[in-house]
Amino acid sequence: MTMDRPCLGEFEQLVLFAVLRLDEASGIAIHDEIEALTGRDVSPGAIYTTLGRLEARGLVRSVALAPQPGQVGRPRKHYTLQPTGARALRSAYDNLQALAGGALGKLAQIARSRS
Amino acid sequence: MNWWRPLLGRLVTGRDAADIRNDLDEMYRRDRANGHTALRASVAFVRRTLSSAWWARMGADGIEAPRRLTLTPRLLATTVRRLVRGHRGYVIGATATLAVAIGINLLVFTIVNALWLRPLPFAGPDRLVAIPSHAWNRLTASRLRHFEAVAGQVITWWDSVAGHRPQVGLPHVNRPIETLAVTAEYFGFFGVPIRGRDFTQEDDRAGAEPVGIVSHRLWRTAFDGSPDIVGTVIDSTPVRLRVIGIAPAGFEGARRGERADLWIPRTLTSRVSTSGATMAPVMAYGRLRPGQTIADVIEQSRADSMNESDVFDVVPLASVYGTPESPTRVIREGTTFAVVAGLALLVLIGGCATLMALVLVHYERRRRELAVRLALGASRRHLSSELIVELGLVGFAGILGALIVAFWGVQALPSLSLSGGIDLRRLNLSFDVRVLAAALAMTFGSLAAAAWWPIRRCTRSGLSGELLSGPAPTASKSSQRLRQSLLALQVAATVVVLVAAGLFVRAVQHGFGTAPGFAVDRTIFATIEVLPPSGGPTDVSALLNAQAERRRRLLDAFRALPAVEAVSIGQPPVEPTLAERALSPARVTTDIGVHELSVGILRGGPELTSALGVPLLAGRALTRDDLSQTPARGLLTASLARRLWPEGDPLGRIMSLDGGRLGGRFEIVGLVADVAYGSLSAPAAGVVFGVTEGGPRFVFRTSTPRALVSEIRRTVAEVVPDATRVEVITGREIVARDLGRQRLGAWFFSGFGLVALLLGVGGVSGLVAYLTQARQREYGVRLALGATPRRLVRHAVSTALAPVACGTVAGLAGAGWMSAFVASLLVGLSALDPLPYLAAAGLMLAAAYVSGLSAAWRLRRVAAVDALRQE
Repeated sequence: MTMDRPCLGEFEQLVLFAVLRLDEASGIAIHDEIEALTGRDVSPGAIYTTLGRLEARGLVRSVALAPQPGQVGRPRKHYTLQPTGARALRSAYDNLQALAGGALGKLAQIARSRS
Repeated sequence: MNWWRPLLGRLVTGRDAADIRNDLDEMYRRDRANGHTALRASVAFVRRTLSSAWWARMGADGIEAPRRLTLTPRLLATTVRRLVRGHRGYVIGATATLAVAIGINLLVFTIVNALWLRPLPFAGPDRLVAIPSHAWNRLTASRLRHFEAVAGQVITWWDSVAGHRPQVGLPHVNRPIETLAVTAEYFGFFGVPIRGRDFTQEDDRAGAEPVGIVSHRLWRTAFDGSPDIVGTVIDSTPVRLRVIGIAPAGFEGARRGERADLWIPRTLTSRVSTSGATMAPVMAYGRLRPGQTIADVIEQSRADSMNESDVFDVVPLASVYGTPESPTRVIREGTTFAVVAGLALLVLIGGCATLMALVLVHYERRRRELAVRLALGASRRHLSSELIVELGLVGFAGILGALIVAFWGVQALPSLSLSGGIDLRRLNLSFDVRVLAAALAMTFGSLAAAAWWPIRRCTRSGLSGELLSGPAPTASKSSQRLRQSLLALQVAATVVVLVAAGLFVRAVQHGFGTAPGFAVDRTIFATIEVLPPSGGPTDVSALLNAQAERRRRLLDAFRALPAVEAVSIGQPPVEPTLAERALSPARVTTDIGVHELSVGILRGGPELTSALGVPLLAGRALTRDDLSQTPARGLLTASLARRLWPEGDPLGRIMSLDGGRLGGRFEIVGLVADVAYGSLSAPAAGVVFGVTEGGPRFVFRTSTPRALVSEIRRTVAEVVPDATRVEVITGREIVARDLGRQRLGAWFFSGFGLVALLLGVGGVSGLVAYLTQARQREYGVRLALGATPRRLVRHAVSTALAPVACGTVAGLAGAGWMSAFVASLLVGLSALDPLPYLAAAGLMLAAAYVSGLSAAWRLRRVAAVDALRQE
């Protein structure tokens, strides 16, 4: 783990994983993916603000695509994961794995004892 | 219908605003496609849009999307502990303000709910009407055909038919059983399901087995809710009844104010009342046909009637009040309660102003804490959420307090009654879901109005930067100006309420004083009836002779009482039954002209005017010899005489009054002082006093009315032991009943005024204390430069008095505008009577001065060095 990889917040990680899973995703698709997999109903404003921040740091890139058949409205931005973003995400994942490794059993035990 | 979404979407700004709005629209369309209702989808749209707008404004500062503040028991416990330990004064002040301001409004709403809003407990009440002024024997079948259905209830409140009142007793129930005698269609007409069986035409036949239907309340209390009661014969008196059914819970009669325990068939009345008459008069209820209006029925009735007096007087059942012992009254208190509600709202506005000031000061004091938390990374949203939770807890405490205040007010209300004898005790004043919803809406509406600006101000992100620029600020000029504006608003509302209180108090004083025209505090009125028992004499002349002999014996016995200064046959001039006549003009003919005037006729013994304490101004009093004269001899009130004969002497002149049984032809033999007739609020133009020997009512003049009441009862028990009805009431009680609206207004507005004054005084005290604290350094400098403590106190007080003076002027202007709405409710008093206005302004200014002085008093002991050291 090197110190020059950008640190990611928890929500930034969620957004990047959603972009990763969807390859090329619009804001609403990212919203739906996060909601489907985590149950969190996040506002579009939060997603776009985070995407803007990630794009400013070079972790994602956006392109404006014409509406698909059946869609209405102006051209939408679609986001793709950049190599720096992928490395940062992998680093965050490895950190979490390192800390969590072998501790899941203990986690379950504590959760049960305090419920 | 979708025009509002783009408008709301404009709240979202920033770089990706267009994409965000697109996504919000798509989410809305998707929700609708998934079957969500328009309302649900719209609520979700609003929530997402507001959240997105907030996020877009926050920008990207590397801040995580915060977790939503979750209400957990631990968070609530922590918040309560923090409030109670660290901010007790704020919690008590805010809770008390909410409790009082909202409690008063809840009380008013409870009465409005009971009188108008609470639906009658049966199906289709909006199509049901009452015909209160006609008896069934005048309503032939052909005339009732205009209605889809009809039902009836025996009349028992007229003096002449009081003997028809069913008097049923139960040995194990120590209170009067309120019994209504009804036609067989009664329960079916109202769609009220009966547990057991309903009345049938067979039950309403002479000679049928005595049956009855008990109310749910009587069933629970007297029969322990036993299901076996149906079909059982109970030990009721004077006849044993078989209980055939139980009415459902909540139904106690058709009219507001009825609290029936028992219903019996109409024809059973003769066996359970003192009259013994087989045909008791019945008041009708009707159901309008679909699409039919009351105006339609009245027109149809007019087409059927020979005389105008036979035309139906149809009123909506929902606006009717009546009990077995009082006439059916149409509730016409809309104006009164509109005024009361308007002024209660002013108290609420004053309370909101006080609350806003309290919240502002509270958050101003916590600025350092909030600024530090913002600087350490707390989001504005999180801080705002925490403060909202605190306010929610205060609001919850406020609701509890408001319900307690309203509950206490409801207990105190029954000592008042509205004009026409509407007894508030008879109404269902219980809290229901409407009242609770009103409490919640008012509480959280008040909190939202009071707290949105202080929260917005004290959680702004720039606040933390202010820590770096110098000493922690204590109070900004804008906060001071806001507090002064709030105080002015509070004072204005208080002054309006105080003026209203003063006007109503003056109206009540006038009503008890000069308005009646008779000696209110020295008169007693008694009604003594002896009705023949069942099977009694039917010889009318023998009956009349017996009544005359009884009257003679009673008069002799009354005259022998030492406390009686004068006694006469007669009735009170102010009474609900006379009020309608007072509003109806009649044709008055004299030798010089014809007038349309409302004129009252009071017939009684020759000593009636003396007993009433009405002085004779000219001519002579009436005598027993005038009984046999034609035309009848009469005394006329002075102002009416001046109107009928502007020139010349009215004595010896003749006047004719059209009005059937209530009319007459009189030769004027004397003039008396003016007397109110009917109602003090709308008296007749004048009164004619005539002589008669008949009637069950007596008028007494005495200097000890309270003591005489018991003596009269004792005398009646000795002289007429078989009296079936003895009612004794003082002149003061008569007038108090008539002044119900005014007394209610005086009671309410005095209470409102006191509350508003306390809030205002608290506001002044708080403002002075606040400014004193905020200007410590300034005062220290002034002291160092030679100012005396006394001058500082004067300066502090005058700073607070400036907004009080502005508020007082605005309040007086507002009260002047409000006077147009209350003028019709005041008895003999101008709504611009100067005394209440001066008293309200003086009271407010004096209270504010004393309050400010006490708050600034400690400035006298402030040392310059200490004040400067506060930095």
